[in-house]
Amino acid sequence: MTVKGQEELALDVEDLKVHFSHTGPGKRDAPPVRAVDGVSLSLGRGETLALVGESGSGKSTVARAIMGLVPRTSGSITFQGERLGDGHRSPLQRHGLQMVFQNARGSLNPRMRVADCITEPMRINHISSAQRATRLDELLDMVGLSRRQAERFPQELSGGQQQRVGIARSLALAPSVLILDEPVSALDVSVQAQILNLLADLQDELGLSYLFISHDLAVVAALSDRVSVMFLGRVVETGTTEQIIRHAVHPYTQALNSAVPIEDPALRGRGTRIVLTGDLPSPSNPPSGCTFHTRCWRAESECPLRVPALVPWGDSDHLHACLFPSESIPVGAGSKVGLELGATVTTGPKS
Amino acid sequence: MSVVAAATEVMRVRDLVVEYSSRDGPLRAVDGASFELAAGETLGIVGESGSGKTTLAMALMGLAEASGAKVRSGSVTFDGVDMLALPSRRRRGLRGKVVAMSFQDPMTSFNPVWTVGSQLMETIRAHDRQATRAEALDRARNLLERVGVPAEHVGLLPEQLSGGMLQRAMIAVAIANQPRVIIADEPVTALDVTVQAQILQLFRELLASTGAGLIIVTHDFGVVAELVDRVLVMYAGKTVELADVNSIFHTPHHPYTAALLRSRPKLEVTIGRSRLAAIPGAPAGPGEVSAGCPFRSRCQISHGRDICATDDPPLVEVGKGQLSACHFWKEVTP
Repeated sequence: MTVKGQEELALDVEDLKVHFSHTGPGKRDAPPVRAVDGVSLSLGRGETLALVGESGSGKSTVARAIMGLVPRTSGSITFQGERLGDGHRSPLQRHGLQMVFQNARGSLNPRMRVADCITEPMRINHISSAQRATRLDELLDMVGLSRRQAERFPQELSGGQQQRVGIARSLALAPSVLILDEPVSALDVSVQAQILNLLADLQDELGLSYLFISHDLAVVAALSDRVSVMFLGRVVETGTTEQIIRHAVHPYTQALNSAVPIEDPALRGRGTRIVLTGDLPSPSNPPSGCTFHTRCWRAESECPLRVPALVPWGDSDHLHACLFPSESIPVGAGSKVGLELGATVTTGPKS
Repeated sequence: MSVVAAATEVMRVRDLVVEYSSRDGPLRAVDGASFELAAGETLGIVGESGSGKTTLAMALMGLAEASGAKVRSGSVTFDGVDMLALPSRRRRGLRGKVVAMSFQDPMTSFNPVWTVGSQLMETIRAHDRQATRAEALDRARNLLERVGVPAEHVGLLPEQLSGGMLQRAMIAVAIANQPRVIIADEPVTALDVTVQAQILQLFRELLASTGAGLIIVTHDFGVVAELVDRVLVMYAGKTVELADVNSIFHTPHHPYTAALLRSRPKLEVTIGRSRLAAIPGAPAGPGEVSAGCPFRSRCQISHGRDICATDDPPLVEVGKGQLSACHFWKEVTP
């Protein structure tokens, strides 16, 4: 599914920046942390857009800025045609945009019964108790919880059931867009598939749009229509799931893809693994030019000098921000061949 | 890959039973674990929360009591010496020297007010009293370099290192006294995939160069597929399947193993919206199942047959080197 005309967009984010300044003693003059530094993304109706990247890439901050939970430094957010103000959450935003958190247990009040956790958003929005009771039954059905479970406290439920409560609560006000922040990462493996299937069913039934934040590319591939890859506060590549997983042209996306463990021991030693050296650079003092150049194996002398813009690859809707995009992953200089995994490209700046 | 058939055995575990006490009587967290580990071999202990995998790992270190549990019976033998039969003083002599552990969360396992180097030196001097401070510092720097941490980080506090660097430092502590067995509890769970790949690579290199045996405790079949030779699958404290890694992935003989593998989306196979093969229910914890097979309520081949509810299936050999604890293992399809 691709992005259609403007009127079809559920959510449109333009050049979003969120910078955090230091407040500690002696740190006031330190450069701000550029957690999100110019992110644009658009989410079509009924579509799932995944936001992937390492911790510190800014993906959760994007989500929090869209929800109005952190102030933005600049940029615009348009939700169903309405431009959202900063700092003040409009009724449209409060009803229509909801979030499901990674830590379901931590996001539910342990002193409230499940039924009250689910209906609380309606109570806050002055919906009558009769309507709340009807809606509660609908919601419990939707997420597969029983009436009996609704009378218990969150901590008496299993992790998967707690996440079902979190989802029911987020659906209480009939939103059109859900932001899913790592919704299954904290769950047991045997339960993750239940919740992912539930999310897919709810999307089909209710026509929801999902902004799906995850570090697990296998999960992303199974749930998403399109993927945006973030590195150090910027989107470095975006396209359909197929384009990003199978035909990535940005070296960071390629490294992420190649780092996913292949879940078949018979395939050990096949394929190329790009092992990125080092850690994420500091977002308060990012490298010059392309911020990935310090970890990139394809970096040329031009890379530290020029900031690459997000441009189309060929004439498609597949965008990348690399000065030297390429689908092929060369086993080039500095590579170590013959380790257990076959070709391993060890990265680092050429010099 | 090296399943070293005739290699030297470095560790043998027999019928290990570990319990926690509770108001309702003892909770059996590990219910009869038995396996051997050869030099250079990697064993994966796989399970979900409540399966008993971390309790088992602590017991293998002789640390069950430290985590509030009690070893009810069984033995953990290194070179013919049963660690659990030793007095605690002598146990401490083995710990770190013969068997060493890297803990789940490096951020909280290091002492935050000591430098990484001083904690490495403490480990070195605990087993080598002759070593001077200067010698220990020298060895600490070498160890850090060996695991890919710049030697000059020796004077940094844990909070000054990234998660990946700290995990490497934790591994340096584990290998400081050339142990014959390394136990790693969820060594890559808290790390980003790109850093995970680095750490798995480090383990491969260390095993090849030291010949130590490695036990990896994990819930992640990706890690298992990449690194492990043999797999022990735990469910509600019991070993439900034990086999070499290829058999586990291609011909699993326990319905839990098979269902877990089916439920994961596979990047190399599916792209775009696909329905996943979910397992109903939630994992059973210790003490939740009184009689019969602990997996039966979630099992897709039990079909409510009586024997599953009445008889606890024994762990039996179902193929060459493959053990399964299922009455109907012949009906399991991958």
